[in-house]
Amino acid sequence: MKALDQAIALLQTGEPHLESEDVQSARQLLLPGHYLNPTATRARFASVDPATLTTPAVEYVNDIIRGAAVDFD
Amino acid sequence: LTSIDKDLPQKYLTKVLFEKLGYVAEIAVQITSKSYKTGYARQTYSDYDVLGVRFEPDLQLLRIAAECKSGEAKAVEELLKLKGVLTAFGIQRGYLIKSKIAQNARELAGNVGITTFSAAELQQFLTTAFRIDLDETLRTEAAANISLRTLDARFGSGFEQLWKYLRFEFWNRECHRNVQALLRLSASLSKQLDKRDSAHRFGAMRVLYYLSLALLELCGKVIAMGLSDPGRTFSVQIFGGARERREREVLFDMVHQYVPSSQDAVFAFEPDYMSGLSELAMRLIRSASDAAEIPRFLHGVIEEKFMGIGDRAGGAGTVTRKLSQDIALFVMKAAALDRAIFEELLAY
Repeated sequence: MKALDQAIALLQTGEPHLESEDVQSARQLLLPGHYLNPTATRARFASVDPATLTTPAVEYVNDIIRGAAVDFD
Repeated sequence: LTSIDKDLPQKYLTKVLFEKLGYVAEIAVQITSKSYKTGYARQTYSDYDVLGVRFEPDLQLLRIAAECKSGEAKAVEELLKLKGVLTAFGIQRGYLIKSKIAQNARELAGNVGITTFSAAELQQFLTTAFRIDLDETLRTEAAANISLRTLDARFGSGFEQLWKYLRFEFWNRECHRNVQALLRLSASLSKQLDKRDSAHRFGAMRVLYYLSLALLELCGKVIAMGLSDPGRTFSVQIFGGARERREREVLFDMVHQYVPSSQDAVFAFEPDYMSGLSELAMRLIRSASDAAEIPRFLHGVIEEKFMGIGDRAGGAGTVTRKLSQDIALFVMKAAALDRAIFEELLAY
């Protein structure tokens, strides 16, 4: 049915309908290896070591969050 | 601004006019913005030939600007350009100064609320209304400008990032960002500032002057928006308002949750100096009418002590001087600066 809608849109306006987010999401779910269920996701995150930052990096993150960073200007 | 700038004498006299009207005036202020073109970069829109700022006794900021031209043609075009700049950047009043101004331009200026002076009219007004010796004034201002440029260049060569911020960013950013950025930049320079170098002390005083402008503007917002609970209002406005503070809090919580602090530095939403800054702001608000004179006093100290213009700061009241020194003492602590870097101010 959606294919028919797209065909009609193409004939009438020369442009297809923009694809909906549902279609994009479904396409992602169908790709192998991209989707983990919640239980698997939690297990995977638990095994990852948290990142560590140097002191200047921590201060820089603080600056960015506070709105005080000027380095990237 | 160069040594062959034909408009300089008019700019000097306009600066003096603004000062006589109660403003602190600055020549050649850049109007810039950041945008994405091929990359994220600074763009210059225009400039104010002369910009004047002052605070009302309730710390509301007033800004006026002038376009100074030595030519005689295109007055209407220049007038309309000036009107656009005033409107776009929220400047309260404008002045067009030209060698001669055509009558049609004067009519238009009246309609759009811009004051026009021909060069002769400006000179006459300064002479009669303020009893100014024009030749002496021009000599003094020219010498002061040379001192300013020399010291500024020396300071800029050693502290390029801070210098660029003052030159290109300060006048184009919100006051809460200026307060935080200037304190951050000051702290990063504390070990390089040499109290024996007059250019370094000059630069530090300029930072103090600009910080006072931003902080007083912020205090003016507190007075206008939430005087019944000024501490809370300040703690919100220092981050740009309730919504912006909340967004930053949420971002902070997320980052803090997933990234641990290092051994020597911790994630903290508010900087260490925040309680001291808030206490300073409350003092300024409690003495608002005296605090309103701080920029003029600090600018006067800079002109007197570093640019060789005599007795520019002497007229300030005791409370204004004390509050100015309080700002310096706060910056010294927040940015870990040597007390001697502000010796000209603290000895005043």
